[in-house]
Amino acid sequence: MIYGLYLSASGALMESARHSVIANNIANVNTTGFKDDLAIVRARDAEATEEGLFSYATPMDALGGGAILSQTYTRRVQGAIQVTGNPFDMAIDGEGFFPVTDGAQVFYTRAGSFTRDTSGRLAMPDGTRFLADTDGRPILVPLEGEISIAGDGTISVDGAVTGKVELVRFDEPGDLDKLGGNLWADRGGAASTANVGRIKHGALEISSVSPAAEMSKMILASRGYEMNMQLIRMQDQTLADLVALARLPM
Amino acid sequence: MGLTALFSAATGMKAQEINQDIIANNIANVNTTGFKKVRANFQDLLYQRLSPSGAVDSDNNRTPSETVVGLGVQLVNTQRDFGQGRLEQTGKPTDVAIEGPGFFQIQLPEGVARGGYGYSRDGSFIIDADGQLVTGQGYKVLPNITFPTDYLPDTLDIAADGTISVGVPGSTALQQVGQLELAYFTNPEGLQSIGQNLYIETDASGSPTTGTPGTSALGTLNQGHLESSNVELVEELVKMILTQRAFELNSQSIKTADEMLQVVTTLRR
Repeated sequence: MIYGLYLSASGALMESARHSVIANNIANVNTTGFKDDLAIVRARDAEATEEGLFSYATPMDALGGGAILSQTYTRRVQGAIQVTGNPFDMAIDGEGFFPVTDGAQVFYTRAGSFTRDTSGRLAMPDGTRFLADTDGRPILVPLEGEISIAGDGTISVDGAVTGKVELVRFDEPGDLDKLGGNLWADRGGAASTANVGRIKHGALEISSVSPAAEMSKMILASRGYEMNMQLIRMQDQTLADLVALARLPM
Repeated sequence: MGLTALFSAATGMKAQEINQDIIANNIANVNTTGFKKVRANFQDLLYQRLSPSGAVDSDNNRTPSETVVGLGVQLVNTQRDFGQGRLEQTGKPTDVAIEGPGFFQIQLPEGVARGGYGYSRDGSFIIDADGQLVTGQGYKVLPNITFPTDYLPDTLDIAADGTISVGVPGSTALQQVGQLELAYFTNPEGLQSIGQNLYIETDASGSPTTGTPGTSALGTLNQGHLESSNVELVEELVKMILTQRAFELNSQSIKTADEMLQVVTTLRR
């Protein structure tokens, strides 16, 4: 009886966490190169089983421990490409990432809205990280002239090749950690420069968030939350009835 | 609790609000000579890491990816698009449009800008009572150009390379009175806008390189033309629709989070 209360509570907590993930997706509906997160829910084992104390020792343990947000999965889907015409905007059509460096460490991003700073580095909008070459050093572009960036990343100025944007691809979703600021960090996965996709110069990749999908997920999360809360209320009432029964004069 | 959702949705609403302000300013300047449209760039905020990827669960399985809850969105900068605007013919001899990336140099009142110079794409100049070439606000165009008092307005000629010549009574040949120069910035997006179609230099823009018009780095001049605003109305209206819907969506997140909180507060009867 009381155990059910914990199950309902775990369900409500999980739905609340799911809603937070959805709210963050919606908040980033206009963020360049943003990839939406999918909240993955898993049935919990009973606490005793989770702690490794018993393995399904009693029928109650076999009930499990409700539900938990087991992981968030960043969906690596292609976002739509919007033409902006800005000379240092780039969008990736494919699975690659732009390597960017803060001077010490290389990070990865899909947000290709760069600005050329006074030393010729291509800076991310916050100005702290720069588009990097294969050695992790900032790519330098000439300070003057008509820049054009080919689909394979070759940078040319007034027709003369001056460098190359080398995209990087990661096979496993777990190879990258999402850091915020449109950045991902490499967790030591195998980076490859094959099948990275093509660069579209003068365009940006828009957020992959689908408003309709997020809204329906949000409705489900909030109804799931309500149902769990309703169950808590019902179990509370049953307990109250039980206590009232015990008080009846014999 | 639904509180993370409340705050991240609030950051979303705030971001869309700023976006709307920027779009409204672009639309307001759709007819401003030499105006360059601005766009807002957004980034996701930090992530709350509930469990790292590779964590081990009770059955000794490693989670293939992490569990993170994002905390919303932030405006990271506003970026001006210095793309060329259309050149419109006005026929007025003191109107000059730049075709290319250069800027006119304008003498600003003391204390406004580093070095006292402002930079502008607006070439709707006037010749003032002292015979000086000035902007619509009366700021002098640099290098100083003084017209003789008896010049013939109809003969005023501004060449593509910035040479200004006028005719004077009693002479058949045009007399050169000055030379317009343009300034070029490595990172024009780093310029600071101070209104009145003027920009001033910052550490981000770098120092200007000046020179006579005619090179591809500076551009060429077109007399009798003005550069119209590079705001595209259709593009701005589409962005406005998207912004409004995104704002509404975020408000739905808040409403849902609020409803969830309400369920909690009324849990105990």
